[in-house]
Amino acid sequence: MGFKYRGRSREVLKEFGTKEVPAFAERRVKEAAVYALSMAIRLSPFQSGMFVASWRLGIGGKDSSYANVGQRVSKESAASESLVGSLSAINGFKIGHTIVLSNSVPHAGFVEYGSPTTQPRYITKRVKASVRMRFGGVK
Amino acid sequence: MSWADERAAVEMHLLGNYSSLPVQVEAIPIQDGVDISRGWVRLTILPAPEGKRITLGNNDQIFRHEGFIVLSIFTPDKQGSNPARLAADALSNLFHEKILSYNDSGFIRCGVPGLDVIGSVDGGHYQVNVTISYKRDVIRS
Repeated sequence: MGFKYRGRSREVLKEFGTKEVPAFAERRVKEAAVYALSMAIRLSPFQSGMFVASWRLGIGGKDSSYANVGQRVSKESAASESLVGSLSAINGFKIGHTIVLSNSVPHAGFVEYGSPTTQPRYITKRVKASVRMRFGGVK
Repeated sequence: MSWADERAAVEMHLLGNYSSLPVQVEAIPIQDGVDISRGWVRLTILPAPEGKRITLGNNDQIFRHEGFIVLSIFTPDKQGSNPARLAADALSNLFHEKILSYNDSGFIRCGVPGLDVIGSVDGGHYQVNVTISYKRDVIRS
C-alpha cells in the first residue's frame, strides 16, 4: 500500500534536506545575529550614542567601521544606525559563513574592560551567554 | 537564590577570604584613609540579561541565570606585571569552580577563571581583570 509513494517520499526527503533544512538554519542564524545585536545595544551605555551606533555585524570577520562623532537624540536612533550598518551582513549571510559582532570605537576597551574610574561591562561575554542560552552553541 | 542573595554570597566569600589588597564592592567607594598604594581590587557582578527555564511539567520549575564575576586588579604602574598577577592567582584560587551560597537560598556555581590583561591605564595604574562565569538556579512553584 505505502510502496506506491516510495519514490515520491525520497524526492520529498531530498528536497527537505537540500532546501528546507539549510533555509531554516539560515533563518535561525540570522535571528540569533539580530538578537545578539539587540542585546549588545541594550547593555550599552548611552551618552552621545556613538558607542551604541557603532555595533556591527560582519561576515567572516570583524567589521571595523564605526559611527561618526555627534550627539544622537535617543538610544533608539543610535540603535537604528547600528542596524543599518549591519544590514549587509544580515542579508548576505549564507550557511558556512561566520557572523562576528564587534564595536570598533576607540573607547570600546574602556567600556568593555573598565578603568580605575569606570566599572567593566563585558558586553560581548554577556551577549554570548544570552545567545547560548536562547539558541544553543555559539563560539 | 535571588539577585540580592547572589550579591551577598559573592561579596561575603570575597571579603571573608581575601585581605591582601583593599577591596571595593559595587556602589561603595573605598573609604578615605585606606592605603591603596600597593593596589586595590574592584568587584563587579554582571548578570547575563536573560535567564532560561530548564525544566518542564507542572511541578516546581527551575530557572537558570548566568553571569560573570569580574575582579579588576589595579597595581602601581611601572613595577612590572607580577604584583597584579600574584593578586590574580590568589583571587582565582578563591573562586575556581567554587560553590557559593547565602542563607540556604540556593547555590552559585563558579566556572574556571580567565585573565584579561588590560595593561597601563589612567592614574598610574596597571590593570588586569579576573573573570569568573557563574550559574545559579531559581526554583519557582
